[in-house]
Amino acid sequence: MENEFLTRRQAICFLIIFVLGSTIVFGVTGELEQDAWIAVIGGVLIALVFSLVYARIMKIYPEKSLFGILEEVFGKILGKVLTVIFTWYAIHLGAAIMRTFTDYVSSTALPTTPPIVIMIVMLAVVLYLAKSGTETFGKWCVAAIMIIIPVFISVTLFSLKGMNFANLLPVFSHGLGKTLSVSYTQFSLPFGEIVLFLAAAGTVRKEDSPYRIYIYSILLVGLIALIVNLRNLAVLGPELVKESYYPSFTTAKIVNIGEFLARIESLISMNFMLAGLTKICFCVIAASMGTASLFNVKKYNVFMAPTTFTIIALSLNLYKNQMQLFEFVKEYQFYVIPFQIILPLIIWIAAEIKSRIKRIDQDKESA
Amino acid sequence: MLTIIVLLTYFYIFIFDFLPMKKNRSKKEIIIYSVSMILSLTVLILYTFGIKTSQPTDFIAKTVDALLGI
Repeated sequence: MENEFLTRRQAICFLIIFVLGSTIVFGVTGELEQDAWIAVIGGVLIALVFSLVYARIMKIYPEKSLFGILEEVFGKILGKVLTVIFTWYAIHLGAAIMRTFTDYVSSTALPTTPPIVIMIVMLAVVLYLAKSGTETFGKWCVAAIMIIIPVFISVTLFSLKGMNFANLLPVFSHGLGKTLSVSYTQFSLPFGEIVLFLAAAGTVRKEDSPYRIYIYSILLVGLIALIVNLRNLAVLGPELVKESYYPSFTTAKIVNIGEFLARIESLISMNFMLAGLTKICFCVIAASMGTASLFNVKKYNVFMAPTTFTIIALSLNLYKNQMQLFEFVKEYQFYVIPFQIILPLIIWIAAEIKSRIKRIDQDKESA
Repeated sequence: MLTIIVLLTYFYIFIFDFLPMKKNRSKKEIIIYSVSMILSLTVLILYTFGIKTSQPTDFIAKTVDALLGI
């Protein structure tokens, strides 16, 4: 498993799914009402800046995972401390997505089924996919995107009839400060989560530019998020988007073309299942890699089952109810600053210094 | 009923994941594996009996609120 690589296409597909996992169902925070789409553009711009940092880290240490980079740059002790921090982030993110996924399924399809049962069913799929190896995971991402994108396009086309573009007016009515603040929220959830891809940096070939992978995927997923947001706003209007927990689901629910095409919200659920499972699966892989690196174990697949069960145990105790889940976003955007901004910046600067010192030493030796 | 489902899931993982792995893994790997499985099993069993452990979200939210004065 350690020698398997993702192709550039697979890596881009994976990153798109990773960000879409949340966006496709939730849309964008309704705080900015009709201006929410501006926050998406803002979030994409911030994500583009930080993706350059993440890509540079990958470029300095090609074919090396985040945890390997941490030990090489910061030494054994500090490297292990940072490994614990990023492993926690992967577990927490996995648990949060699993809980979101379970709550979504409970409220839209299986209201009387205990959440733990839904989680156990998901566990089987996630564990099987994670254990299948990087190549299979990459192929799964490409296959999933082949379903997700056509479904997204068809739901958007079907909703054209119900769109009222007057819902997008007036533009820029919330001031620059609030727009920037919501743009940052949009970056922290979900765009900034792509920092976790550094854990799989070792599966990207040296020849494949990490800059291209990050930038292509952010631009593509940004475009999809923008269309999703504009569609939801145009169909539902800012008030309903603000009140709805799952605006994309609500949008799809009211689409009704003639007498033959109705109740297409199951398509949105299908997209969320595919994207959600992929996202949880990657969190399991990243957390297993972190655990293996922490205990100096070569093969990380040993820890996939314990990691998945830890994620389930955590997700059941993460929030009291769905309302707390949505309220936590207020604190979440600050909580993720160390993982998405501060630590990657420190790692990048330290890696630059370390690699330059190494190059100078090599030049001296060869001279 | 939920407790039985949880126990059966762990039993399934024990048979199909732990036992095949046990033969060619080091003692360290087996210990880490077992400890984390027992910990998650304990939390899940407590959950099935309606006993909830402390919520990390509360702690994170309180810490962020205290630091930033939200």
